[in-house]
This record gives sequence, structure tokens and C-alpha cells, in this order.
Amino acid sequence: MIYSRNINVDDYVLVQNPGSPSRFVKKTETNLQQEPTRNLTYWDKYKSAQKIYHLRPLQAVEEFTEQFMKAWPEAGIQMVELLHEVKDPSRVNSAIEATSKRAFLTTFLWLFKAFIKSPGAPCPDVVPNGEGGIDVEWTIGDKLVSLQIHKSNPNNDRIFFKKDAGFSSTELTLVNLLNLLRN
Amino acid sequence: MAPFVALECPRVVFRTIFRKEWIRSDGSFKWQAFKPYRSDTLGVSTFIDLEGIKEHATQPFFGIASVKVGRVRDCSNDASILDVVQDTSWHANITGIPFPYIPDNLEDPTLAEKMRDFCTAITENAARPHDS
Repeated sequence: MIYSRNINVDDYVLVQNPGSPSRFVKKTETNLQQEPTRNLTYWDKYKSAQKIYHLRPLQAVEEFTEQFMKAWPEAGIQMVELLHEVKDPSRVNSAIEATSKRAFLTTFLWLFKAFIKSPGAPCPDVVPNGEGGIDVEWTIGDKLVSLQIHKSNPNNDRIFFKKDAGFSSTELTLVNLLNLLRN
Repeated sequence: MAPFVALECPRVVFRTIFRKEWIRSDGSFKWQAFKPYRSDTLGVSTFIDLEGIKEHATQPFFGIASVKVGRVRDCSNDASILDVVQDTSWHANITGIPFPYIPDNLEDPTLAEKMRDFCTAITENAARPHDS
């Protein structure tokens, strides 16, 4: 498979076999002389290049997800369980609220951000709070850092952290989160 | 509402746990187990005895946490006094926990900190019924 962006589309030849989809094949000695069955337009070249370019980010996402699941497996499994809950809220006891879609997606995003920026941090605990939101908690020694993701309102997303006496909170920003996880 | 005698400190009250994620693998509980819901305006709902749970708990649950009334009262501080107030023959509410919910889906961050602090303190004193 080719992942390089420096691709000359003219190095490829369009092969059209009856009964199978058309595909681009790199010119080799055997097919060098083979002429395309029709002239390539700009649109044909654009589409083929686009297909190849798109392979790289997909591969990157696949590799990253694999790394994430290896490093923080409990969090990954918990997110998969929550995904089922978001798809089917009737799974949850009606006395409490099911996790909202907004809370799930925001948590997913912040977990990935935290994993990218501080991969040495321990696996967090992903806990639905019963009000439609999610708490993501890191316990590092005596320190506790918790993201509180609200079910619907971004203004209510906060970071709670345990100080000597009790809990304090601050705004949920990447800088604040990384400072708390690293220090 | 009929008046009830104040619950004695050695009495144990029971809280049903609606999510399995609120129980740790070692059997202890996370603070969310004692978090008041938006609908719990009177306080955190608890049962007086296990018979009350059998008769009146209509929703399925994953576990039961028990906590002594005296331990709850011990969590009080200068800012807030916690108590367990009985309202029916089988039900009581843990009162005094700050209620951070205000209209329009907003929460008061200062009260949310205090709520979390109190819930954590109560959870540290909670146990499974057969442990108490």
C-alpha cells in the first residue's frame, strides 16, 4: 500500500476488467505498454489521489486507538459500555438519567487529548454520574484529578482536584488539566 | 407529615446503588453513590431497613450501601450540619448536603465542591450491609 503524498498519478494506469470494478495499478514492465481504455480526465486523477491521501489519517487513527486501548484498557472498555448506553438509554434504571450523547463525545475527546499530551498518566476511572454527565478521575498517589463533564451545558464542565483540606475546582482547559496531571 | 423521633446514632440506613460503576472492585463505593440527584430536593434518599427496600424499591439496583446515622452526623462541619431525617416508617433523607443545582441546567461550582466533599466523607464511612 502506498502512503506517500508524493504521488504522480501519471505513474498509474486504469485497469478495467469486465465484471470487476475499475482500479488504478502502478505501471510495471508488464503493463507499461497497456494503455488506459479511456483518457483520464482531471476528475479521475483527483479522485484517485484523494483515495490515496485519505489512507494515511485512517491508518493513524487505527494505530492511535490501538495504543490507547493498550495503555488505558479499563477506560476504553468503559467507553464502549457507555456507547451502548448512549445508543439505547432504556438500558439504564429509570430512577437515574442515562448518559447523554454530548457528555459521551466530550469525554471521548478529553480522554484522547489527555492521552496524547500526557501518555505517562495512569488509567483514569470513567464514571457516569447519574445525572446524564460523566466524571473522569485520575488518582495519582494522594492527588485526585477529576473532569466533570455535564450532560448538556459546556459552561458546567469543570476540573475538580483534591487539595490538602478538600476539593477545589477550576475551569476545564487543556493547560489546567495538564498542569494538574503533571505536577 | 407525621412527626418521627430522631434516629439514634447507632442506627443504620441503607442506600440503593443504581449503577455498577459506583461500586469498586474491592466492594467499596464511589462518591457518586451518595450524590443527591436533581430531583432529591429533600436530601439523599435512604431506607430505614432492608425490609423497606424489599417492599418499596420498585427499580432494579446493583447493590446496597449502609452507613451509620452517627457517622453521617460526624461529617458535619461549621458550614453545614448533616443529619438523617425520617419522613415515613421505611424512608429517611440525609439532609444538609449542599444542593448545587440551580435553574437552566447550571450548577454553582462552590456548592458543587462542597457537595462532593460531603459525599466523599459519607462514602468513606459506608460499607456493604454484611460488613456493618
